[in-house]
Amino acid sequence: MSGAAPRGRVAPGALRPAGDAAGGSRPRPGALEAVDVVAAYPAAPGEARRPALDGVSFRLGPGEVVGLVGPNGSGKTTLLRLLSRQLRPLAGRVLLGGRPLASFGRFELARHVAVVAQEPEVPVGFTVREAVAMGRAPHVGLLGSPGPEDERAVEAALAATGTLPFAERRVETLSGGERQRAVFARAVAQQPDFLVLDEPTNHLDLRYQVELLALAREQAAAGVGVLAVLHDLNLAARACDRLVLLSRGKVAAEGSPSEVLRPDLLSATYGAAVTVLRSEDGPVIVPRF
Amino acid sequence: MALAAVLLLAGAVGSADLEPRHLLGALAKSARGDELTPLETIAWRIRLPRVLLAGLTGAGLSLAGAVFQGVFRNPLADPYLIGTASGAGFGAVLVFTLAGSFPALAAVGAPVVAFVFALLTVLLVTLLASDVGGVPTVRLILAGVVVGAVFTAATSFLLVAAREQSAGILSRLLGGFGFASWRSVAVLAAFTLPALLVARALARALDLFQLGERGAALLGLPVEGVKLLLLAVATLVTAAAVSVAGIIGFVGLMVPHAARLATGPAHARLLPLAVVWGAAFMVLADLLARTAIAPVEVPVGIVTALTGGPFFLWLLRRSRRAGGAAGVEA
Repeated sequence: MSGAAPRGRVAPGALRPAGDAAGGSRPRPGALEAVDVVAAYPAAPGEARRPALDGVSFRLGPGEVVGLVGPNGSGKTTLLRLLSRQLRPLAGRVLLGGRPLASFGRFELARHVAVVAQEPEVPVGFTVREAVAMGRAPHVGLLGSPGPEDERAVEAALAATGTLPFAERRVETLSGGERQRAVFARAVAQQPDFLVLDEPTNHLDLRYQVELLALAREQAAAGVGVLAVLHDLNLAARACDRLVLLSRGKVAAEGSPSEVLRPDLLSATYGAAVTVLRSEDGPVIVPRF
Repeated sequence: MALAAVLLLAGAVGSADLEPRHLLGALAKSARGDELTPLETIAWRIRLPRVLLAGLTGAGLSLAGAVFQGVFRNPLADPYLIGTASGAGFGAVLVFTLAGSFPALAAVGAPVVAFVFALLTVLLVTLLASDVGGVPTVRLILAGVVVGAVFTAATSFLLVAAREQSAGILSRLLGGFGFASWRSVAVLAAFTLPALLVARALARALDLFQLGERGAALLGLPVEGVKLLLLAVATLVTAAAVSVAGIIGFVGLMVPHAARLATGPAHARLLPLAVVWGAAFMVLADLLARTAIAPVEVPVGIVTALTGGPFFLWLLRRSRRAGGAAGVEA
């Protein structure tokens, strides 16, 4: 990641405080990983059941930003769903800190892994602050009430994501970019060890795309492992430390952006001719017609 | 405080001229076991149970409305509109018909059987109306109307079959507190008060439902279990209210909305306010019902429908204009 990436309106010092409010003493688990996972969705009648993922291994460590790229239907969202236990693997294992994901309690898992869904629903009528505070649910539990620690975490999340200026506005009055940042703030308030983003920059204009990924990088700088499903390869090349290219349910390539974003590989995977230009800021992908 | 004032006012006004001091005197003397004056006897035996029954019914129906609206993420959900009350009404009438000669059995059995049928209605309507991630307004109300109509028809059949009892059962079903007794107050309280506590304890979970069921699950909420518990609680209070006071529409729709306008959508504040306002509203509606063209009593359901119908139309218009902002997905 180049240091030249614009930071938007986010003050660099607004990272969540060192030894973050609630989880300071908690040791971060080693990694979120999938080992040889196979996953499939129920087939339509008369159709063969084609695995959405076929023997994929993947590892997300603390503090890194990994981009998951690949054509539509290559299994990106399926892998993301396995890693957040929205789907169970048919074979293989999903582990968090070496422990099977299935052995975590619901709230316990949500304290470790936060998900920003592709088109998240916003809680109509609630203020941004109230919506962000919902991210504390895994810490508060089903019947508990939030304490000062939770309030501190919410304040820190609002500050870190630049959502403080509109914290008292109702979520449905926000613009698309502001709304996505508020959703991101809720995930930050969860104080997770791993942040899983499903096409977080969809429908956002350039400025908000860059801002959101800059926020994700700041979380990684504070030790959070970030996984983002991204469609825009140029954006992925700049925002991610490492890329994983999926193709037809298998890992086609994995490594630094310049290792993965090769013209031959991309042309074969996407079925479209591309030229890859080299810049000091990393590879630039240009489609050929 | 406002609720206390409303209770006192409604307790005092009626065909016998009571004053607040008669109510208070009756309360104090009953507590000590002293002899009551005739006016105090009216206050103690007739007026107080009636006011309390109305208050509990209003509180319960408002709570049920707020919970249904929260769980379905749909501001137009209401125990009456989604057919729950019709299912409960059928269950209650079933018991009244079969146990007409055993009033003691009917008092306790009616809420239970009403609950079973109301729960059946909720599950059926939810099943018919559910879509991925939520329950769209149009399908919810269509399914509610259809299932409700089936139960209403079945109820009518029971009433016809009940012959000479039918007039009495029908007047109970139409909604009113003329049958109020301390026993009915106790039965309703036994169902309603625990429901209030459970719903209040799950207020934060209800907030999380506003993220969609998937969003709530991603925050660790055991969505299916909590949903079932909340629907059961809302259905239970509806059934209890219907079996002691008949079918009283629109309260569960109107009151939570008014409360939401006043305090915002967070259920920790919304539920208590809806409960208090619901109680006050129902006590006043009953007051109007028994004094408007006294000595004839208007069924209180007519009063709530006359105020609630226009409110519902206004709400429908408003949510259409505001589009997604009001949270109505048609």
